[in-house]
Amino acid sequence: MKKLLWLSALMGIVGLLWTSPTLAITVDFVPSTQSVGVGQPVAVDVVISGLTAGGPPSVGAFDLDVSFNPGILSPTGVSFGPFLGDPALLEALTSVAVTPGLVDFAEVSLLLPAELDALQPASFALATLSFDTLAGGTSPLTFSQVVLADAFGATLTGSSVGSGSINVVVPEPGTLLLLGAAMAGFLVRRRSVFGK
Amino acid sequence: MKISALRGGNHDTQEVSLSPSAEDRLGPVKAYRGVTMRVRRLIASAAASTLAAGVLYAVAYATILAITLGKVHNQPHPMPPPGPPPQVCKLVSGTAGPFCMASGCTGFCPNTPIPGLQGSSACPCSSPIQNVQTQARFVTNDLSALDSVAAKATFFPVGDWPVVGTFNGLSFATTVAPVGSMTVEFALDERHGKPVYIATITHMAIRALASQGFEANLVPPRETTILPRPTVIGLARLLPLDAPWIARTDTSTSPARPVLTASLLTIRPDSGSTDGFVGVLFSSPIDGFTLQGEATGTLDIADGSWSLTFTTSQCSNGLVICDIDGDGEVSRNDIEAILAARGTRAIPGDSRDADGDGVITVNDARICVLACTKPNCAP
Repeated sequence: MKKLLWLSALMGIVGLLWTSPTLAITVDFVPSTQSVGVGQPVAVDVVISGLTAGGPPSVGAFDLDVSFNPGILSPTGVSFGPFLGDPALLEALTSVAVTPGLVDFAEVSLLLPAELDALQPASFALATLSFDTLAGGTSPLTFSQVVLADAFGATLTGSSVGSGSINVVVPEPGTLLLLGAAMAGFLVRRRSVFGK
Repeated sequence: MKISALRGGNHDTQEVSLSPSAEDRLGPVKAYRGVTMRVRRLIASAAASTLAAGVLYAVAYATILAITLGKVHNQPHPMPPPGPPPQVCKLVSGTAGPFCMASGCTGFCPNTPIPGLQGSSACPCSSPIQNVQTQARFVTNDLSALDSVAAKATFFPVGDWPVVGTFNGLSFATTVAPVGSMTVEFALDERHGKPVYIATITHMAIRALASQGFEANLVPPRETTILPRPTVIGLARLLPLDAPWIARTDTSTSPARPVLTASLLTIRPDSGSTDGFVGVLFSSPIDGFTLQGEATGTLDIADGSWSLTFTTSQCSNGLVICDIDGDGEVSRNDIEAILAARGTRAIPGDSRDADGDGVITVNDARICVLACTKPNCAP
């Protein structure tokens, strides 16, 4: 009886682990976390995955809002990927709006559905966000709005979003430098006291 | 030994003489005081050094910060300054086209571009279009015929679809070129004594472009008006709930793969879906049109042929969509206007709200891209 119980438990665990992966559309920050010094520029990709390469569904338009800590990060630009068409060739229209702590960026492809199907791989960068770093600390990156439309303008259902963060560190004077300065000051002071 | 004492603020010195025995007794005290003084000096020296190092640290930190902040502020910012998105206040409500557009209108609109249909100044919107029928043909994902009932299949429209109907007593026939897809989920239902497949349309977004010159098919009278360009003839809308579909029973042509044994196939749309079948538009430039009421149709599972008939009258919803600037074209300018207004709530009759969900989104912009009158939405 005990053996049977163990066997059934083992089978249950195996069954839980043996789940087939489901294809789901996700939007993530890549890299999800990174660390830079204050004053250094930093960029993060917004990547969609879970599509079908060379076939529907493809992304016809998107509208994303990314929230961040405005005391730590200052957005400097949004560059859009080529997979909804090249905006420079007027194959896509883009829009960017910035409010404190929020970047709102959107793109609408002007290509035909069949062209989008052929153009888009299963995973690609929708856009790249660039920031300047203003102060030390960790700024979370979160999607406060996600609108994804397929090639026909219907909402891409079943999508999920990830989150990310950027850690901004302030470069401090080296510890040895600090100790050396203290020691030098100490010696100078001591010499002046005992030298009298 | 002399001991000096300070009294009050005056440097009043008193000298006290001690006996040699007393000086001997004070020897350890003197030594102690000497050590104490040295320790005090050492502590003071260390404290001063630490303070100096702290000040140095703070100065270095502030210098680095100032340099980096100076770099940040000196860099150009191509990003637009924060602020509210620009407002797009221009709206065009539709009165263009040959059909009754304005509420309360009881006849053809005076500005109809089809002389033969320009009759009275009023038309009842209750029954402008009747007996709309169309035949559609779909293929499955792998472009093969669906000769077995899968749990789920996605169909894509192929070919041109004929559409026939009557308008105010005039019969018309035209063809449309559809784009889009339709996903159907099949489930076997044997509760009624015989196997019945319930097919639920879980996703349906089919749009169609009218062929040029479809008015030439109007009979009678035969019109010769030629539309200058293909015209989007509608939007994705809900197929009426529980619209009955009858499947042919002789579609299982392969005995090796005989899955469909049901004599009745009922297809109904997903009640929660916001997608639907195409509306039909007979005016130019762009007119939203919603197929309403019940439709009956057939599905040939062998070759994906569909046909449907709307038994109830269809009426334009009187909304000109996508042509935001009212220039008679749908172009990049209109898409940009929709894009700039995304996230705002649509007002009734808002031509920017192409999918009619009450909010202006990129979905509307993308729908209107498909309605552009020139390639790549050129103005």
